[in-house]
Amino acid sequence: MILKVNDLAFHYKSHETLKNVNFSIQRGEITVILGPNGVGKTTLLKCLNSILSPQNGDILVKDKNIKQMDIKQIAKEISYVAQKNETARITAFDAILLGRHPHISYKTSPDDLKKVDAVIKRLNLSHLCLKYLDQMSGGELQKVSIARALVQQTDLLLLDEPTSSLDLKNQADILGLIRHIVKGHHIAAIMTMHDLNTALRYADQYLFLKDKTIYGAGKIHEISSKMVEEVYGVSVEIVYHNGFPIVIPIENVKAA
Amino acid sequence: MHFEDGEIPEEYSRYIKKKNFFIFLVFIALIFIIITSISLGSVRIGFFEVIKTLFKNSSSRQFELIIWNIRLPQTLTAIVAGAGLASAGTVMQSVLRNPLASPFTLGIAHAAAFGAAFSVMILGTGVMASSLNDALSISNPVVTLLFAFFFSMATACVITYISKIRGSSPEIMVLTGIALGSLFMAGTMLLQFFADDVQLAAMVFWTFGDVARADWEDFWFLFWVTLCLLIYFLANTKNYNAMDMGDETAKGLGVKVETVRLSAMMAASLVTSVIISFVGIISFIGLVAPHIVRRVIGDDQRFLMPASILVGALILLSADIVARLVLLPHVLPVSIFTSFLGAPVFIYLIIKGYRK
Repeated sequence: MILKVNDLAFHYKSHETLKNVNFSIQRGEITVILGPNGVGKTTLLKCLNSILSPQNGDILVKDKNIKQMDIKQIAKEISYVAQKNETARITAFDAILLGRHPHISYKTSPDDLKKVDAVIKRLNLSHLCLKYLDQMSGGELQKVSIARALVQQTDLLLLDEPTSSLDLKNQADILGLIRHIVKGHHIAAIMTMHDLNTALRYADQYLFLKDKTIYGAGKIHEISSKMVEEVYGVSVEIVYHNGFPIVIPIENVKAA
Repeated sequence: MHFEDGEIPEEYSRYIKKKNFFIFLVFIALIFIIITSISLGSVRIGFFEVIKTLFKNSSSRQFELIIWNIRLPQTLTAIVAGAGLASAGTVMQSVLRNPLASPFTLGIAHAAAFGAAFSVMILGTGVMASSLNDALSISNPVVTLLFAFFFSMATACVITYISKIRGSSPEIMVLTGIALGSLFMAGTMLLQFFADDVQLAAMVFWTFGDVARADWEDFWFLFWVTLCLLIYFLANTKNYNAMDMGDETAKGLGVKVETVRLSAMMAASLVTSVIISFVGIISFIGLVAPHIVRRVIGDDQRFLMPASILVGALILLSADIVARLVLLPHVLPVSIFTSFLGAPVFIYLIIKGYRK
C-alpha cells in the first residue's frame, strides 16, 4: 500500500469541508476523485501532500505519517500538479528542472539532466525547451507542469484537473503517458477531474465525494448510474464501449 | 534540445551565455562609472590620476584627500545602497508575486525613515546639524538601525498578512503601500512639528536621500550588513524561482513557502532599514532596477538577482554623478534624481501593463 488516509477532516475557519475521509491506494493504480463543483476534491488533494494541514486524521505514505516528515521529504515521495499554472519569464527547461529541486542539494548533476531529458522526450517538449512560460498556450503550460511533476520521480502523483486546458489529442497523450508511467514504474496517481468519461477511460478506481465525505468508491467497472445520479442529481445511462463505461446524461432530476 | 548524456546542450549554453554576458557588460559599465564618479565633481580629476591615486601612487596630496575622504566613500556608498535597494525590490516582487512591489511603493522605506528619525530625535542616537552634508551624523548605528528595522518589519508583516488574506494583487499592494507610507510620513511630520529649528532642518535634509553624507565608518557598517543579506538572497534564488511557479507548486517542490516569504521580507526590510538609516530615503531604485533587468534577461532569479544588484548600483551611482554636476557648484541630493527617473518608469509600467 502506498497511501492510507484515516479519518481525515478539514475545515476552512468555521466552514467544514471534509470529514471522516478514509481510503487507501495501492501501487500501480490510478484513482480519480469525482464529485460536483465545490465538494472539496482539490482540498482533499492538497491535504494529501501537506499543502493544507488537516485538523484531524492521519495520512500515511509508505507507512510513514506525513506529520512526521518535513516538506522536502514529502516532495521526494509525492509530486503535485496544481490546477492553476502560473507563468514567468523562465524557460520551459528551467521550469521543468525545478522538479529536481527536492533532490538537488547544491548543483544540478548530469543525472538530473538525464532525467529531465527523458521526460521532455516522452512528452514531446523538445521544441519548447527554450520558450518562455509567459509565451506559452494554456495547454503547453499544463504539459510543462506535468513534466515537472514527472521529473520529481516520486511514488505518488497528485494531479488537480491535469487535462483541463488540453485539447483531445493532448488529453489522450498525457493521460496515456501517466497511465503508462504508473503501470511501468509501479507507482500510483490520484487525479481530480470534471469530465467523467475521460476519468473512467484512464483511471482504475473512483472516489465519489458528496456531503463532505466519500460517498462511494470502487473499481471503474463497478460504477452505477444510481451512484452518479445520487452524486450529481442528473439522470444518466451507462453504456460500455470496448470495455470502458460511458456516462450519458438523460435528464435533470431533483438532487438527491 | 537533447542532453541524454548528462551534458548541457549547446543551445542552452548559448542562452545562459547571453545572460551572463549581460551581467558582465553591466559589471564593466559599473567599473567605468565608478572611475567617472571619482573623477567628476566641483574639482575635476583626470581618469588616469584617479587610477594612480587609488593605487596610492598619486603626486597630488589634494587629489588624494578629495578621493580618499570624499569621493570614494560617496561612490562606494552609492554602489552598496543601489545594490541593496535593488535586491530588496527584486526579492519583494518575487515573494509577493507582485511586479509593483519595492521598499518605496510598499511604504517600508517610509517606515524605516520614521524609525530612524524617532531614534535620532527622541533617543538621541545621532547628532543633528542644519547643513546639507552634516545634517545628521549617526552616533549609535545599532540602536538607530534597530528602530528603523522594527518599524519597517512591522510594515512588512502587515503587507505579508494582507497579501495572505486578500491576495497580493498589484492594486491591493500599492494601495496598502500608500496607506502605510502616509501613516509613517504623518509620524515623521509629527516629529518635525515638535522639533527645534536645528532638528527640523536636519530632518528635512535627511529625508532627501543623499549618499554623500556617509563617511568610512558608516560605509563599512552599511557594507557588511548589505553584503550578508545579498549573499542570503543569492543563496535562495532557486526557492524564489519555485515560488514564481505559484505557492502550491512551490510547496509541492519542497519549499517552505511561508518561511521563505517571511524571511525574505525580513531580510529585505533589514537591508532597506540600514540603507535608509545612513543615507535617507532613496526612492524607486528597488522598482526600476529589477524591471529593466526583467525586460532584458527575464525572471530567472539565478540571473535576475545578480543583474538587478549590479544595475541598481549602476543607476544610483549614475544618478549621483548627475546630482553632483547638474547645478555646479551646488550639489543636489541623489533622491531627487531617482524620483525623476522612477516616477516615469512607474507610470510607464501602469500604462504599458506589467508582467507577472
